[in-house]
Amino acid sequence: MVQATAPKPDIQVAAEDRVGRHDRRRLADREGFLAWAMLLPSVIYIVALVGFPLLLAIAFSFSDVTTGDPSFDWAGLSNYQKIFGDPVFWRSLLNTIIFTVGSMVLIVVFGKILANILVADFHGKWIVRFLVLLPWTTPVALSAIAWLWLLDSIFSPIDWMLRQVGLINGNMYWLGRPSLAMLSVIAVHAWRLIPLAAVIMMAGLVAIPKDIQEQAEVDGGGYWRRMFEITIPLMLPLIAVAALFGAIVTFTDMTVVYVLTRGGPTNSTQVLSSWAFFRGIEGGDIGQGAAVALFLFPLLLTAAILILRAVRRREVL
Amino acid sequence: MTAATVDESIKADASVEALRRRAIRRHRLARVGLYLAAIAAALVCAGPFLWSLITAFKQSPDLYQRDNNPFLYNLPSTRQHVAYLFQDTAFLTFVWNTLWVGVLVVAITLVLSLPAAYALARLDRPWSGPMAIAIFFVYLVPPTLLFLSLSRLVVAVHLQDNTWSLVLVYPQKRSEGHRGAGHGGRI
Repeated sequence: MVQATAPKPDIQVAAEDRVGRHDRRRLADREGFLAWAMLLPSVIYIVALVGFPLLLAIAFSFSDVTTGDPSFDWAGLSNYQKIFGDPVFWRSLLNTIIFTVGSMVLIVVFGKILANILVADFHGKWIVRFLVLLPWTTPVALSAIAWLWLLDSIFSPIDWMLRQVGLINGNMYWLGRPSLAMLSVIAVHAWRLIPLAAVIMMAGLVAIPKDIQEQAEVDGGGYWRRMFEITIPLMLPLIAVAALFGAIVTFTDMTVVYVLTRGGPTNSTQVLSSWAFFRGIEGGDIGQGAAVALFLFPLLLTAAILILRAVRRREVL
Repeated sequence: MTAATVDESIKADASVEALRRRAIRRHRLARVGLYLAAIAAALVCAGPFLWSLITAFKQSPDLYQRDNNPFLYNLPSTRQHVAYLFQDTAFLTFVWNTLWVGVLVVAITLVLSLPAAYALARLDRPWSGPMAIAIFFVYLVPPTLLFLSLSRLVVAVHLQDNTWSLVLVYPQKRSEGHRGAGHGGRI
């Protein structure tokens, strides 16, 4: 502050100075304001690119918008009537549940086993850690293409190995038979997400205080008893987090299905998100696609709330 | 020492020795099991990549033989597939696109999400708990649902057939992931 007119008494200047400094400090100390200022860019971005498209998608599901005719006309519930009357929709819903539950079980069980291996001490630990993380760090589309060939109907190396061992004679047609195709899709998806679950669970595993384990060992608890009565209960919140992430990614994912089977054979691996994609983007019926995809949201919300509540209850206990 | 105590201490020694041997045997077994499990895990996880690497240098006639060992070169290896990739496809353009889109997306994500994560975790306003959960729920919105309308949105801002549309759309999913991870312990 520059005083151009009459110079002020020293005391007043000092007071103003103090007030000025005080104000400046207050701005940096006003956490409410700061928190908003730091949060706002993200909130704007999310509203613009998630909130708005979400509302738009909800609006689309009540309209007759297609890629050929993007004009918006109100169509009421007719899209919903159409998808509910479509057996493929119910098939996809069932498949989505099988796909999610199946991969979640695999992810949690093998994620736990893998986490146990990775925290153990052995030679070559770092190379094993590196190799084990590959499925997760590689883009899905790439690894799914590798699996497409590994599961090929004629040249599948997996079949070749099974033939060498003498388990089969011809081919398994992994992606050609409905139940095997579902199994393959679940296995590939689980293969991709197990490393992520293992890393999350490793955090839980190393966080368990050593003295609890040692006490149990002194008391004569064997490996399995310690595993099921100490390690797993103490890790439960993190196992739930891993399962939640796995479930969300599985529920909304369509890459594995899209690359491996395109929903086939005869829609036996069609999941809701791939069905929405085929309907809405490839089939061009955006209204119906949006209605199918919208159906995922409440299911996901319920699952997430249930798991979060389960985690909270365990922490309170 | 009387004869009885000597006898007892010998017996005790023997049982300690037996226990020790059993412990060593169990320890060795556990180590072997651990190494086998680690090798199996590495093979299952990295196997498809190893196979892809081998296959990339195989001649096509070698590939289309059902009974050829898929893990060995039954015919001499070749570099023709790699040459094809660089000479007859726009592979380098794809690599370049991946790189610059990736770098920009990471930059945007960090610029947006780091202050937000700090605000939520450290400045600890009364509303930061519900806000974190609200942001977490954004994560639940299925991408399939979004790209139906995002495809319209991208047309509206005249970015169709433009790689910049990816820069615009990608950080959306990532940023929540970061915050989700930052909040992992609390949600």
